[in-house]
Amino acid sequence: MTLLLFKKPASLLLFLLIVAIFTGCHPTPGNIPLMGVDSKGGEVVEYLPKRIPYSKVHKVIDNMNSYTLAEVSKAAVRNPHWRLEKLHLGITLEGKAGFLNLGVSGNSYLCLIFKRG
Amino acid sequence: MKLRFQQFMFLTLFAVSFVNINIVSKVEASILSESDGDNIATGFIPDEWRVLPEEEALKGEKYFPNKTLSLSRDKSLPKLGRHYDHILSINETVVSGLKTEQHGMHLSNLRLDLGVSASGMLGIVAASGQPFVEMYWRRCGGGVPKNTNLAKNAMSEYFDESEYSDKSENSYRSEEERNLVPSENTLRINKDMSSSELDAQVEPVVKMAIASGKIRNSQQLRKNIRQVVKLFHSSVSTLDSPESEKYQWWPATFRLDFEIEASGTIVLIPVKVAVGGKMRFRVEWVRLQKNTMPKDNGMMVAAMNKISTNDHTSINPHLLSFVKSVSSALDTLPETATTSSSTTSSTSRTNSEKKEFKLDRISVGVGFSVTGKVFLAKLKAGATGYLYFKKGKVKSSAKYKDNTEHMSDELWIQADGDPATVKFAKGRDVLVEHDLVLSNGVPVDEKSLMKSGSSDKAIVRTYYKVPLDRFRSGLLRAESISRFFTNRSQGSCGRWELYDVRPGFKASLTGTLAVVDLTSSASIQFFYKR
Repeated sequence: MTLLLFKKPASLLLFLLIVAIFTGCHPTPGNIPLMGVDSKGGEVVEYLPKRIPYSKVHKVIDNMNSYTLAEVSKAAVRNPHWRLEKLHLGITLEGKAGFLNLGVSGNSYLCLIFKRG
Repeated sequence: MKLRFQQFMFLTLFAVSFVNINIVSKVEASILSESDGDNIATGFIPDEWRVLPEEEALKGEKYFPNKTLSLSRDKSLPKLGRHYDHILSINETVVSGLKTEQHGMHLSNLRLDLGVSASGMLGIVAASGQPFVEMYWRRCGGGVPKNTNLAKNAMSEYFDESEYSDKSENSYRSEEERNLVPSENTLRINKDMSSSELDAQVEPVVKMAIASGKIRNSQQLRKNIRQVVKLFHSSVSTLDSPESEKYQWWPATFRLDFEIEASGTIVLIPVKVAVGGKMRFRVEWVRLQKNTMPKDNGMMVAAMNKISTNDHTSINPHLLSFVKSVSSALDTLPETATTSSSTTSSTSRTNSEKKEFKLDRISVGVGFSVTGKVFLAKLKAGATGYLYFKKGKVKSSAKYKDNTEHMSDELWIQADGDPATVKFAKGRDVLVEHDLVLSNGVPVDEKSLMKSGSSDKAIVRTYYKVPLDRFRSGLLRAESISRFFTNRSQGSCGRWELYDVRPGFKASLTGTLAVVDLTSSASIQFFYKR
C-alpha cells in the first residue's frame, strides 16, 4: 500500500522523515538535568531525563498529595492528642520514565509545605 | 499530475511540522535550542566559581587568583543563565497547576534545590546531596490561607508574637522563615532569661522525650538538658554585647543541635545531619534587639565597657573575637549587595513585574576546637552550630571603648589536612595547626594514643589561619556569584512567586569562597529575600 502511494523512494523517505519528527524527535519541554549523591556508593549521579511531561506532572503530584493528606488525616483522628499543623511532603522524581513517588524532605525533587487552614 | 499533488502535500506537511517544532521550541524553551551538538545540558558553572584554589593546585593545573568576578567576561555565562531560566520556567509550569487546598490543609510554600555535579553541571537535586541553591516559593499575596486566624493562633502556641512584633529590618526573622523551622523541639533563649525561666524552657523537650517511650532515666535527662542549656546561655551571653552594634552585620541567632540518647545523655551533633530515629532538640540564642538596646547612649557605652572588661569563661573571648572578625568582614560587602539590581533579567519578565532581592541574612558554620579555637567550619562536617548575621543600621554614634583583645585580623578555617593541602597552605604563608579527637569528640594527645594503641580511632582536625582581608575578598566574590542568580530570579508568577534564594559557598584555606557542589559542604550561606 505504501509502495503504491509512494512511487518514488524520495517521497517515501520524506514521509518517513516526517513521521520520525512527529513521533520520536519532537522536542519535549522538560530536558533538565537531575542529580544527587548515590546513597549506596556515595557517587555523584547526574542524568538528563528526556521524556518527563512536566506540563502534566502537577496532576501526579496532586493525586499523591490527596492520598497522603487523607492518610495523615485518618492518623490524626486516631491520635486526638496531636494536632497536625504543618506537613513537609517530598516528591521524588525518577527521570527516565517520568515516574513520581514520595520521598523525604531534603532528598526530593520538590518539597511541598502544607499548613493547616 | 498525481505525483506533483503528492509532492505538494508532503512539502506542506514538512513545512507545517518544521514550523510546529520551532513554535514548541520557543514556547517551551527547549533545551535543544541551547545545545551544542550532542551536549544537551548546557548549564555549567564556570570552573573559577566552583573549584577551590587548593583543589586546582593539587591537580597541577591553573590557579585561580582571589579576585572579584567580572560576570560579563565569561563566555559560558549566557548559556548558564538561559539554562537557569529554563529550570525556573519548568518549575513554574509544574507548580502553577497544583491544587492548593486539600483535606483542611493548604499548600503554603514550595522548595526546590539546585545542585552542582562533579562536572559543574547545574541541575535539580533529586536525590541526596548538598544543594548549591535552596529556592522557596510562596503563594502570591503572601500565601495567607482563607482561615488566617486559625493559622495565626496555631503558630502563637509556639511563638510569642509580641517578642517578634518588630517588623522592621531588625526583626528576628521573617514570618515565612519562622514558620519553616521546627518549633516543638526548639529552645529559644536570650540573655535576659533567669535560671528558672531556662528550666521552664527545658520542660517541653523533656516531656516530648518521655512521651516517646525511649528514655530510661527521665530525671537524668532533665538534669542533663538543664545543664546544657545553662552552659550554652552563659557561653554565648557576650554575643549580646552592645559592642557589636558598631558593625552593620550583627549576630542575631546562634543555633546548636543536640541528640538525646536512651540513657538520658545529651550529645552535641553537627547541624543538618539526616534525621534518623533518634530524638533531637535545638537550642537557639536569639538577640531581641529591642530588649538589648539601652534607652540612652550613656547606658549603652557603660554596658559595653562593662562587658569589655568582664572576665568571661574561656570560650567567650574566642567566640566574641570570631563574631567581631566576621562582622567586620561582612561590613565590607557593598551597599549594593543588599539590593540586587536587575541588570540581567529573566527573558519572560516585564519591568513592572520585577521585585528586587535583598541580602537579608548570612549564616556561618561555627566550630570549636579542643584547644578553644573558634573557627569557620563546614556546615555538615565539623560545624558545631550556625551563626546568623543580620544587617541593620548602626544604632548610635556613641564612641565605644574598643577592646582590641576581642578583635582579630585573622580567621581560623577548618579544611582538609592531607599533606599536599598543608604544603599548599604553607607555600602561601598560611599558619597550620592540628588537633586530635576521638570519634566521640573527646580530645586526646598523641602520646596517650600511642600508649593505648588506638591511634587508628583518632581524628586529625586541621585548621588554617587566614588573613581577614583575604576572607573579605572571598565574600565579595561569593556575593558577585550570588547576584548572578538573584538578578535572574525577578518577577512574580500568577499563583506562586519565588521569594527566598539561598546560595551556599565552601571556604578555601586561602580565604576565598566557591560554589558548593553535591559532595562538599557549605561554610557560608547567603539568604536573599524579596
